[in-house]
Amino acid sequence: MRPVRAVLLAALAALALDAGAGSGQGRGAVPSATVRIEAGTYRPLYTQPGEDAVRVDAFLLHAWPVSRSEFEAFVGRNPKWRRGAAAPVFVDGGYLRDWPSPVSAGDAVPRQGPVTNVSWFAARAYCAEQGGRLPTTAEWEYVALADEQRRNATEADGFLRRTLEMAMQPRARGTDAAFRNVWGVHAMHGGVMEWVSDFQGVFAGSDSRVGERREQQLTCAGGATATGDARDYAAFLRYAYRGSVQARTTTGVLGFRCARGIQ
Amino acid sequence: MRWRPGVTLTVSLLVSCTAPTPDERSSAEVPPEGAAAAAADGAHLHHAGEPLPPLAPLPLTSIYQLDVPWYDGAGSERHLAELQGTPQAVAMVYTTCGSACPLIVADLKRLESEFEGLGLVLVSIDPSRDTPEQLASFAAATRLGPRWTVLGGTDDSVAELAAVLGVRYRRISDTDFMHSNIITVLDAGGSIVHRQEALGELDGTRAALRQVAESQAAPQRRNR
Repeated sequence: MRPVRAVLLAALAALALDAGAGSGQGRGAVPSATVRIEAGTYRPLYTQPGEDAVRVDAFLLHAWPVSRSEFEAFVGRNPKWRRGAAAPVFVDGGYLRDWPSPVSAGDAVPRQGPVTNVSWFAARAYCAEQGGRLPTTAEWEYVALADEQRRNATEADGFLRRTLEMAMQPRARGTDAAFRNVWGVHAMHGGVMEWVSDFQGVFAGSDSRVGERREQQLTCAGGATATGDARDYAAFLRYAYRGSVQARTTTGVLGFRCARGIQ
Repeated sequence: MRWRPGVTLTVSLLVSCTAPTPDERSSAEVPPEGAAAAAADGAHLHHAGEPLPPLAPLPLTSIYQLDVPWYDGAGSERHLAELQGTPQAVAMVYTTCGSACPLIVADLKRLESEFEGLGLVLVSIDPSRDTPEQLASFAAATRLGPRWTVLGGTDDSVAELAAVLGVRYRRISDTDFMHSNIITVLDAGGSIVHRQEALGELDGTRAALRQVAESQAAPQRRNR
């Protein structure tokens, strides 16, 4: 390896390590690389009676969450998505609030780390500009079933405990603490929460103070769910989180990555 | 009430949406209070593709900034910004829904009878089954009058509108959806002024609509 390149790589790795205090797989020089996810099935956390698994078609997924640096470039190309310019109907007041200026992500936080404080609308706009889209819940969760060796590790010893522990100690500032799974996708666990295209499919819990009747008035077919894999508590946390946000919500632990269908 | 050019378009467009009987059409010609100018203009029907007259710039809080095409029961392309100029009560439903959706429509019909200047909007969450033909027959079967707009879209446009309205929905079978029964009140500019989250809880919605009517009337009084 040429010395200059080695130094550069070492610097990048150091930044990534600093960001995540992690395993040493630094984020490479191809930030928005996508990997191909083969078709398979995913059993949703909540299913309908009679519904078992849903088929996930093959698709492409970003290997990493979109970085601060990448989103800064997007904002540069799309001034209407600058902080202060983005319409309040699409972003809440916290949009990109951790940036030192509307056009710069700054470098107080590693630029390779995941962009956060972005709304569902902003995330969608970014992915659309890249010719992609947000992954669906089924796609995202399907990829999250994998560990370093297996496409579905949920039956493997310790995997569910490991992912829960990672979820309870998220390293929002970096992605490197999280492992690279068998698909080649990083940071599905232990990083930031991520937007999915159909987060609206989650219904927030009922308000017990007003009872069941009001629940029926709130939601058509409100009781028509049954629990899937109750052992996957990390998945429950993600599910609950999706139920708690609105499309214009921005938080410091919520980022995204993009997907693309395969024709 | 202050009318903007958009009112005219909304009123006239709705006629083609529901294919009203002669009876319904004559009642549509009775203009709501202060709408004389709009009714006079109303002879000019808007056709899809025809450029819209300029409207005031949309407020940054307007959901009409979602500029994606929709279709109506006639199969014509429609844009939410056409609803600008008059307050609207909006709900997302699917026309083959047997349980809550008829109740949402019932709530909206109560508002229709109580608030003369109000537009009513139903948007389908089921692009695969709610074709223009289905929307038209639904509008006819449920006897939706000329102040109603019934729209269908794509999976993407439905997701975006649901997102701004805070409506949650999920397909639970080939024929049915789970969805929240939210009725949203929009002011004339398309900004959300109230969200009714449960069926039958109309009092908050009524209060919001009275407030919208007052704030619209106020500038006009000052101008006179």
